[in-house]
Amino acid sequence: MNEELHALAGEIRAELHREVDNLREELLQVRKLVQDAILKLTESFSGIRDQANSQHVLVTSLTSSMDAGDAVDPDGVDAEAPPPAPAEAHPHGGTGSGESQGKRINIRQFVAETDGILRTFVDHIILVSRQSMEMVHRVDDLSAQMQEVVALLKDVNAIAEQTNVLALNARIVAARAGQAGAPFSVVAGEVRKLAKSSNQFSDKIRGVVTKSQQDIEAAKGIIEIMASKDMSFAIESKGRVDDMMAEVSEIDRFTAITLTEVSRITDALNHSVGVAVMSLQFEDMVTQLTGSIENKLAIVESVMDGLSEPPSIEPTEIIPHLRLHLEAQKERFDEVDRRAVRQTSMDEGDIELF
Amino acid sequence: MLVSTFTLGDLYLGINILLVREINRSMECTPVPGAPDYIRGMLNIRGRVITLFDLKRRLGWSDDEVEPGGGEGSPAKRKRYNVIMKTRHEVMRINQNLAETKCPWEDPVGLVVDQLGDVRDIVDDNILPPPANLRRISADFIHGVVEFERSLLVILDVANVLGLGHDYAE
Repeated sequence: MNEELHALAGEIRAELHREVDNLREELLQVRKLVQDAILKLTESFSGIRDQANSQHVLVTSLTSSMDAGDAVDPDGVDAEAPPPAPAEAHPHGGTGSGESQGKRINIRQFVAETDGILRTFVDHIILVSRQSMEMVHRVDDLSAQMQEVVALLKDVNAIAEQTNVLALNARIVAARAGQAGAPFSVVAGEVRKLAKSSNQFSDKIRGVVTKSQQDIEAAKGIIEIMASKDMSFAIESKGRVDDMMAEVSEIDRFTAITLTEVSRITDALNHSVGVAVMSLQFEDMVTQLTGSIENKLAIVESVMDGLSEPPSIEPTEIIPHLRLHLEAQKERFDEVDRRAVRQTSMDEGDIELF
Repeated sequence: MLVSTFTLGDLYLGINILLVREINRSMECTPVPGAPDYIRGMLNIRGRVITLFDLKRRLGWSDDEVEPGGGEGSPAKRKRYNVIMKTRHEVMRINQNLAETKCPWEDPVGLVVDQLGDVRDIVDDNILPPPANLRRISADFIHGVVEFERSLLVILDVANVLGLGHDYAE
């Protein structure tokens, strides 16, 4: 009977040992699975955080480049080229890349500069118009001077005519002198011819001056049209460009607001990822808990072993012996429990890794 | 014979140069009340008072012919010339025969003409008697005509023009 009981206890013990070994193995598997998962999750979150940081740097560089003010971006951050994306890139520290691009202007500066150039352009055209008007006045003066020339030519004609009368009178006087006055008459005739050619000459001049006057009037008309046309066109263009510039400014403003919003979202994302990575610290607790389970399994095994001690003790002493053994194992359990982690939630404790 | 020529409208007229004292630009003259319309007025030249004859009116031209172009421009402004004649006394000192036959007037007189011409030397044999059909001028006022460069030069009989034709015939 005693022999039989002993053999059964041995069987039970062997079976329990097998089960406990199985449990241990499964615990090991759980721990490995959790470790693998956490490793991958950590890597993934790190990746997300890096991407968020890169995005943050990009957005920051964009917003800083859109800020009006300095003509040159102080950080030399290229808005177009993606930065190297370091994990801890400071928003304004930029990439610190040595490729300072010298002069780079943002949209607002572009708008301002274009506006300035156009203003200069319009000013120039207005100046040209004003000069054209001045030219018109000059041409008027010229026309008046031509009139004066015509008036002077009239005087020349009057002199020629007087000379003609004088010559005629000279011939009358010469005629009275008879043959003696003949040479004088010839001289008077020549003087008269002179007066006549002078008359023809001044008539020709008058013709040229009249033609010049007509040309000047035509030129004046053209200049007047030019002056008035240029001015209106320039002012119209300036107005249109001003409208366009206002639209560009509005688009720029909207883009700046959107970028600010994107930056804010990136910051939030970064924070969330930080929280997620922090939450991955549960691996420690799982390891500790599985360790505790292993310890407890060892105790259970030793309890099993105590129960299946060889029957060297008298049957009457078995019960006190077992009770003693149980008490000792209870103390070991308590010891293990005391050492075990008391934390039951991730929210407890204050783990700050970042 | 030397002839001083001038124009009157489209007429080409001439006067023996020995009868002409001087020619000058037409100037303001003093009208003579009650005188015939061909007396334009009195003119003082260097102290001599001259009676001005309006030749156009003397030839009996109408107002339109006297002032072509209607009322445009006052007569004073229109460019005219005065042909001042020598007196009989003055002509006498040069050519006695001429004075006696062609110059009966004793007082200084002048004729108002349009444009001045030239001095022409006319051979006496070329002077023709006035044609019967000459318009715009009475044959009484013509001494003779000369065909000249496709135009007709009318040499005036000044004594008749001045209305003294009968006086000097005696």
